Order: sequence, then C-alpha cells, then structure tokens
Amino acid sequence: MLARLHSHAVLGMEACPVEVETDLGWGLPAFSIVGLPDAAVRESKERVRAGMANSGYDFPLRRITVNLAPADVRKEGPAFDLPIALSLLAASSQLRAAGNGGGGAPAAPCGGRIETFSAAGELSLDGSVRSINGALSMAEGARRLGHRGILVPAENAGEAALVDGVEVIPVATLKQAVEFLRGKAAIRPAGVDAAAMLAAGDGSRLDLADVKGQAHARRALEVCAAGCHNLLMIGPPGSGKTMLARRLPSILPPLGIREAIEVTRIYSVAGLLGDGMPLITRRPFRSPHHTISHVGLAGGGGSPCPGEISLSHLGVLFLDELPEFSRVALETLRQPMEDGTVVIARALARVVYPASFMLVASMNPCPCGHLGDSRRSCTCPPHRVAAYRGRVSGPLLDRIDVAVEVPGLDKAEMLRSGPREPSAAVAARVEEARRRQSARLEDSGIFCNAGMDTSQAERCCRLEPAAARLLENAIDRLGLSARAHHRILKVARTIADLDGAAGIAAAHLAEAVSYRSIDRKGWDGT
Amino acid sequence: MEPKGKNPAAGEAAIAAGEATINGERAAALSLSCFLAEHGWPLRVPTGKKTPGELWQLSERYLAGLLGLASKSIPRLADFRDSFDARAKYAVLQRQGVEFVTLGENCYPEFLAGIHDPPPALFIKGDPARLTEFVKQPRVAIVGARAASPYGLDATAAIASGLASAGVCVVSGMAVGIDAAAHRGALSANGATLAVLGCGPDVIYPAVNRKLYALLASRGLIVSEYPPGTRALPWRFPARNRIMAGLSQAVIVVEAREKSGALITADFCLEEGRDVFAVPGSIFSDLSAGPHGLIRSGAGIVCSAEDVLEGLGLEEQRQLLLEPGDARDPGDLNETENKMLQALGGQPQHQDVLAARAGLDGPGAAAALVSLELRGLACLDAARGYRRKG
Repeated sequence: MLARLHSHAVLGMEACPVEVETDLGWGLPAFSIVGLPDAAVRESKERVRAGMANSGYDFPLRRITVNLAPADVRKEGPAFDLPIALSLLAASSQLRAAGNGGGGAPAAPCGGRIETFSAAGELSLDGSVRSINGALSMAEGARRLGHRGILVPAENAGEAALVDGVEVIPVATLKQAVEFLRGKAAIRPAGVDAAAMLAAGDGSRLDLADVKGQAHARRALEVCAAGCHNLLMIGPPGSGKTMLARRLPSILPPLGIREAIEVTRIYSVAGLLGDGMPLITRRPFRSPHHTISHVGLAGGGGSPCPGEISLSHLGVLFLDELPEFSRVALETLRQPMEDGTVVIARALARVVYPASFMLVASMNPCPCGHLGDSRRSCTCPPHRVAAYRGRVSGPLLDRIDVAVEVPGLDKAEMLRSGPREPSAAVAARVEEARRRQSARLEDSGIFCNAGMDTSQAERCCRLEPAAARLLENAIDRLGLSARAHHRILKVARTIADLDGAAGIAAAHLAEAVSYRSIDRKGWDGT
Repeated sequence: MEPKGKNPAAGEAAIAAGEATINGERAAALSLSCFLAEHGWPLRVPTGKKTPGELWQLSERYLAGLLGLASKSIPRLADFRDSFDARAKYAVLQRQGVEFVTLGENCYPEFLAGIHDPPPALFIKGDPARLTEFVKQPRVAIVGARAASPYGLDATAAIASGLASAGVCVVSGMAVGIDAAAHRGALSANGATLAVLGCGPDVIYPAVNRKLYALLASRGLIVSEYPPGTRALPWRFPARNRIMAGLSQAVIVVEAREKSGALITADFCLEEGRDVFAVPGSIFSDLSAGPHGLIRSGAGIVCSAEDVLEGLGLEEQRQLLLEPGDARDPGDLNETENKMLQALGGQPQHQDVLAARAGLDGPGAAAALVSLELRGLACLDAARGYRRKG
C-alpha cells in the first residue's frame, strides 16, 4: 500500500516542494523515515504514533517506510509530522472519502483532496496541531506549484492567508485534517485583510517629542530618515543616543502592504511572529547586544536562519556601542549594506536573505566616554582614544553617510519644558522628501538617495555655482576624501529634497559637510 | 640591543673599504655610551672633568665607582671592555646612517657640554652638518603634555612656527601632543627643529609619529645619547629631558598636569640656569596646573613667540618676526555668519549651544559654521565642537 502527500521544506526564504511517500509492507513491524531527515524529523515517529492513537486511529502494525522526496534536500523541523501522519492514514486506508465506506478502491482514498492540498504542521501527542515556522513561505510555495490549498496549523493560518490564490485551511487537530481531506467536514479557508491590519496597526508609542534638546541630532535623524542614510551618533553616556535611535521608526514612512508581507515572511521563517499578530505592521527596529557573533548578525548556522540584519529588513538596525562589537561581526555588515541582501553559503545549502536596512550606530567619543563632555573630564590617554576609534574600520565608516555629535545635556536644557516637535510633523516632511526622490529616481530601480551610485549621484546632484565653490573649498581645507565627497553630495541632495529645492544650494551643501566630522583630520587621533 | 660582541670580520672589512675611521677618543666615547645604554640605569656621569677617553682608561674599580656601579657589576664592566669592538660598532652605525659626536669635539654643542653631566656622545640621525648650524642659532625647547587639549596644540603650533620663522631652533622630544605640535609648527614655517629622543635615534617612538620622524630626519635633526637600537624605557625619558634642557637657552611649558615630565625639563633648566616660560591655560583645565604653578613661582608668561624673544633679549630675531605678514582677510560675511561669529568662543562648544546663542535654526547654524570654518575663522575639534580660530 502506497500513499503520497505534498508538503514543503523551507530553505532560506523559499519553500521547496517535498513529497511524503508512505509504504506499508509485510514484515516485522517497523517505522523508518528516509530522505535526509534531521533529528526533529526522525523523532516525529513518536509524535505521529501517539497522535494517531490518541485521535482514535489505528497505527498499522506493518513495516512502514516513509520517504521524503527529493532525497537530497535536508529536511528540518517538526513540520512534517502532520503530512507523515496523513499519508500513513491514507496508506492504511483510514482516509477514505466520505460515503465511500467499506473496502473501497485505495487509488482515490478521499475524493482527490489529498492530491490537491499540501499539508504542514507539528503534532502534539494528543493529536492537536502545533504552530510551525515558515507557513507564509509554504503557502507561497503551494501557490507556485498550483495546489488548490494548504493545510496549516490554525495558529499559522493568519500569516499563510496573506498569500492570495491559494486556500489556507486552518486545522487545530489531526482529526479535523482527516475529516477535511475525507470531505466529511467543510473548513472555511482563512482570510485576512492586510490593508485593514496595516491601517489599524498601532503606531509606536515612542515619539520624538520626548527628546529634550539635541536639535542637531534630531535634524540629522530627519535627514537620514528622508534619504535612507546610515547614521553614526557620537556622544557621552546618557546623552540620549539610544533614545533618539529608538524614535527613528516613528518618523519613517509607514510600511506598504508588499513591504509588510516581505517583512512578515522573514519573521515567519525565523519563528518570531507573536501570537495574534499575523502581519508585521511596523518597521522593525532591532538592537542586538554588542556580544553578538557574526552568525547572529548576518544569519547562518548549520541550518541557516536569518540574522539580525535580515530581521531589520526595511527597518532599522541599531548597533549601540559600535566599537565594542567584534571586528568580524562588523565586517560582515559590509557586503549586505551594499547589496541589500546577504548570501549564506554553507556546505549543504546556499541561501539568500533580504537585508535592506538602515544602520544606526552609536559610540562614545573615547573609552571613558567623556571626551568633550562639559560636565566631566576625560581620563583617556590619546593613544587609547585612537585605538578605540580605530576599532571601527575605515570601510565600515565609509558606508555611513551622516555622523553627528550628541552632547551631554546641561541642567538648563534638561529642565526646560515647552512644546517639542512631535514625530508626526517630522514624518510628514520625510514622506514628502521621499516622494520627490522616488519621482526623480523612478526608472533607476532605487527609491532613495542613499542608494544612488556614482553616476546617478552625478546626474541627480546638480550643484548651484556657489555650492560648487564651497565644495571645492571644503575638499581643500578639510582634507575630505573622494568617497566622503560622494557621500556629501548624496546627503546634500536629501537636504535639498527636504527643503523642496530642485538644485543643491550652498546652505544645503554646508549642512551636509557638517555631518562628516569623521572624515576630518584628527578624528582618528593622528 | 645591537650585537655588541666582537665581529672582527665586519670591522676589518669596513676599515679595508676606508669607511670607518675612528680615533681613540671617539672609540672610548662610543664604548662608554654603549655600556651606559646597555647597563640599564640612569647613570649620572660627571664627565665634565674628564674626557671620555680618560674615563675609559681608568681602572675598572675606579670607573665603577664614578659610574655608581655596584661592586658585583665590576666583572661585567671588565667583560664589556674586553669584548667591545668600537670599530665594528662604528661600521654598523655608518650602515644605519647614524653619526655621532663626542664630548670634547668641536662640533659637540658647547651649551650641552656645560651641563653637570653631559652625555659622552650624541648620536645623530639626519645631516650632521645641521647640528653645527642649529647650534649657532638661538634654541628654545617647547615641552608639554601628551594628552594636550586643542587649545594647547594650537598655542604650541603658533608659538613654534613664530619662533622658527624668526630663526630660532625649536627643541622638543617627539612625543605625541605638545612635542609633536612644536616640531610640526617649526617645520611648517620651514624653520630649524631638533628632536631629542629617549631611545636610539633609529627607534621611532611613539610609532604614530612615523611621518614626523621622517620629516625630522630629512628637514630637521634627531639626536639621542643612546646608540641605535636602544629601546624606549620609562627611565630614559627624564634623562633625555636633561639633554633637551642642556641644548636650549630656554624652555616653554605649554600644558602639563601637576606631575609631568615637562616639569622635569623645567627643573633641569632651572638647575642649569636656563630661562623658563609658561603658556597660561584655562583655569578649569587640569592641564593648566603645570604652567600656572611655574608662573606662580616666577616663570615668564608667553602669549606669543614675540614674548619669548623679548624675554631672551633676542632683538634681531624679534625684528624678523615683526615684519608684516599676510593678514587674514575674513571677506564678506553674511548676516547669519556674522551672528555665528559673535557666538563662537575660544572654548569648543557643540553647535546646538552655538545655534541657540546666535539665535539660528539648526540647519542654518550648521551651514554658517561650515562656511566660517572654510574661511579659517572657526575650527572643529573632534568630539568637542566648534570654536573661534585666529
């Protein structure tokens, strides 16, 4: 007796089709699973056995062979429990279509549903179906293969239903799945209204209005949000760097539906979608601790899974205390920052994760943190300051467009009360500037100024004569490098966009120059 | 340490090639210097009465007594005298591009020879002819903290370039901070500058001063009492300071904490009867403790190179300095730039503070500051903020 059922294995972001074939042969009772299963898949034997028994089905005392085809793709995780159980039931004739009872033909056990639906889910010993990772990718896989629908755990139905053109059948127990496949029970396909969820998505409670003082840093935050520029904040401890960074998502444009689904897919694969939130409605803000390994940051591992940079896709990656991160971890950021994706190549798999994020980093000006602080004096010898700053490599700094100094607040500033600009007002300006950029960059495949390459920057960043003179002067007097020059142009373009100006005026350029203190002589202590 | 064992083959080859010539007096000075550097203790040799040659001829016991050696070290002195080959060493020096002058020779700086314990030999990196040239000029040492403030660095650069352009040789120790600023200031005015190291003249310490070292070797001069290869050790720096004091007519202390090597140099200067000047600093800064203490006890106050020249009575050089230079032309400033210029002070301030002071919005303030900076009226100190310049 042979039965087949479709399922999916998640590799990277994509689901690849897996056929679960079950054969019941004669011989001593045995249960073996072949087809490169990992430990979690091999253990599914026990869950399937108990789940079937506790759901009132017979576990066949035959020689059972389950093959997960294709046999050269590594199968991971407990999501094959449900398809294995279903195919076992089909092979042992317990999954016959309703009304076809009693010794029917085994060829079409349940009216064809078993061929047109795929299934994924983890079984509990009592026969209920537990949630799995990557249901959204699996639903997409099912649609791509032309399946009519997919059976997913009820908890994952919301995310899977984000995929149009495929019926997502939520099942809470093995029995429900069986009844559905037999055609005895009708289960309404799950549906979600992504647009409504996005609209209803509660905004962040964090607001820029909470930040006291720091006019320069607030402005830099606005410029970065408008042009997707990477930002470095340098200031003594307690000056509000983290507070500012956490409020960045509140001034970024809201996620669009397609963007939201893209982010949700990553969180689904990583198993980080919380209960009752099938769609990620806010831009991610990730703030990994500085002890993170390069694998944790970029993604990977024996069975690759997305790292922090992918989890901050279309959002903000905040690296607090930048020089404390390991050098290897920081260097892995370089390629994703250029490409917007990260490629993880391992012996058994090569996967690509999206990683298009805004980097916001913060650091102290020196190891003790008080260099330039008016309230406390710095105790670091110059060579230690130089070594501390040198820990952030040149190539990484080259990818940071805007650097601002965030000073410690003095008492007067801390106690000053008065209305401060809320995030909503800034967000409106940012959105307007983004609109100008996307109109200008319409047919170049990028959507913001930070993404411009050299030739695009030269085409789009038209300098007014006074600005051109100022730039020339700045390069001479401030010792700016060619790369810094390029970054200044792009930032100046964003500032002009915020201003609604067509050309870049001297004032725009001068402001952009003021965000490049890390290129000046003296930054690295020499 | 350099190999100091006998290497007759190299020595004889060099002699055969006519490269190395060394007379007895120079050989003795070289031997004595190498022994002192190797011995590893700051020996105060009262060489003033005897020439190095006479000293090296003394009996081991007597010489050890003069050098303050423990009696158990006498065999080491004997071994060293037996095994050291001055000619071979000199050949090595020549290959390294290092020359030396001996106490008693004409080209040995007269000023230095006059101190209580002059070094038996002075090793030179750079053109040895420049030593004679520099010694003819007035010489002023500029010393101060390594962790100097931007104010201190600016003051040093201004004073050093002023002195150098007036024809004064600027002496310092090639440390980071004030020392490096003094050398760079003098070099920027195309003037004479001399670095005294606390390690071998071929050892670049600290390594960050690699570029400065190359400049000094090509356009200034580097001297040391230690033979090439001698490593920088803490006790060698105070000893080096006595040479800086010995070579100079006066010392200027720019920024120094309460217990600073710069003050040791000032003490040596007082002992040797040189003038001591100090540059006043902010009363809020720890770095002002040194110079302010000196001023309190009678040091001259220096606010410009002219003050130093006047204090030393160098009228000729002072006239050189007073010749009209090119004055800075601020050009036309617009309204916001004028407001910002009024707001700028001598202490660096963050631009948020300056913007509030000038009554400008953030972007306007940033633009005005950069514009002023490009005109040379403001400058940005890394991590500190903007301040007025000039």
